[in-house]
Amino acid sequence: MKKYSLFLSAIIVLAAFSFPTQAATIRGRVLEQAPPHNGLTTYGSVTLYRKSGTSWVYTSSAYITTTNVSFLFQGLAAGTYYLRIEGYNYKTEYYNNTTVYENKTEITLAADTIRNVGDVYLNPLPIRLANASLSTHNVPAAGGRVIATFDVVNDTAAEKELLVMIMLEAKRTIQNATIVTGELQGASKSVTVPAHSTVTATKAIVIPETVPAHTRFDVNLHLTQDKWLPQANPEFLGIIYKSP
Amino acid sequence: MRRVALLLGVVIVLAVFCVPVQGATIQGNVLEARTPHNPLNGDGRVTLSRKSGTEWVYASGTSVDETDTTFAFSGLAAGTYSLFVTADDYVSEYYNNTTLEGERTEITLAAGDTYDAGDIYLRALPIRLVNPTLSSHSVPASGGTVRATVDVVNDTAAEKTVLVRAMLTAMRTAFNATDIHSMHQCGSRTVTVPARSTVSTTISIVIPGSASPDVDYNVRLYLGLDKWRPLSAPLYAGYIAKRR
Repeated sequence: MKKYSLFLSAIIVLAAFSFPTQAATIRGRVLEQAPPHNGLTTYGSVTLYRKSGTSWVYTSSAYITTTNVSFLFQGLAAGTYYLRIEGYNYKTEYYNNTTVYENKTEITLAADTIRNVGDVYLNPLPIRLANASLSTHNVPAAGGRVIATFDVVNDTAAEKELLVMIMLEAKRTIQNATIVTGELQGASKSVTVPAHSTVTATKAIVIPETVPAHTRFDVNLHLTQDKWLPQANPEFLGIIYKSP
Repeated sequence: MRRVALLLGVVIVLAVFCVPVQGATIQGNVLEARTPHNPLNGDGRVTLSRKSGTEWVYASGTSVDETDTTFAFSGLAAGTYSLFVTADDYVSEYYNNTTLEGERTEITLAAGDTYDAGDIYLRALPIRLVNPTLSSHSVPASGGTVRATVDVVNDTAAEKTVLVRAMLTAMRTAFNATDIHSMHQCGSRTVTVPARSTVSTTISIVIPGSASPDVDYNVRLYLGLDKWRPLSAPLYAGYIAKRR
């Protein structure tokens, strides 16, 4: 009896570790639409939803970067799925190659199947910022100017009047160890960009002497048609630090 | 021989799952300093650092909130640890009851020890915003005004003149499925608050008729001595939708 129990225990343990799972897999890659189909210049995500009755339920997410362009969803139950693919400052798509939710392709998986959806290509937003930089990351105690330089890209067939707002997130430490933050507009610039063109612009950010030492500013560019109509997501430019 | 092998297999599996880990534990509770020591008004974070030579190295972090004020770090190796406790609009503290890094209490643990840090009390920031409200969460297509009302608390012994600013995050969906946003300032108010007093103030947010109906706005309130010198964390006041 004792021998039999031991044998049974061993079988159970082996079964738990050795039996193949009957789970399915979806895999693919996310790349830029334009040849040579590089990885995205920013980052993105792939979100998987599963059909449950008449509704769709979030199942899992995978993150992609410039260098890690592949996604893999493993251990999936048999069923029907769809994919939503997002990239920061790229047009969001549903698999397969549509921005319209109703036109998405449903992926039906049987148990233990592997579905390679191949390369998913994303288009950058047609109006966007690129190549942003700051002339320096430090200003002295007396205050100073930092020059922000950036490209405004217009891939549309019409000239665009745009507003670039330079927003600063101020971070400082009070009460010895408490970090407090505030958001402020550091400067703004109107830019006219002809159709299918890129315009390089600069704007000075003036940090006054009254700013306390050790204050750090995270600088983001916000691209809008006017301040009420955003055209792209903010572009991080870098930090400015007020020296003691 | 076969029986011995089976027995050995079972013993190994049992050993892996059943032998207790000699990890140590630090536990405690985070509450407001003011009696009756309610839970924090919002989320807080407890960060555990471990001493490595002369350096302090991040070891783990956990959250506390209004409903669960307790924390526990378990499975810790023997060594010396410290705790740092933070929350929006509270003064950050090192255990035990100091804002100074150099005065923190070191917790030395042997294997298997359990250390109860007891109740850790956080003080609210002495100057802060509370009770934000919006007069409405929508404006008509022709535009409109929404009033943001907030209390400015001054727990210090001196009168304070502060700047309260309302910032809008404009959010819209472009190209069917792409979420984009930008931020801008939409109103501000200078407020003088007597010592140990609270003053209610109102900022008018004007959404113009020209603003797109496809844009929603998140409203956050910022408190500073001026726009360059924040005094507390931003406070979410609500959203405003533009009706079609």
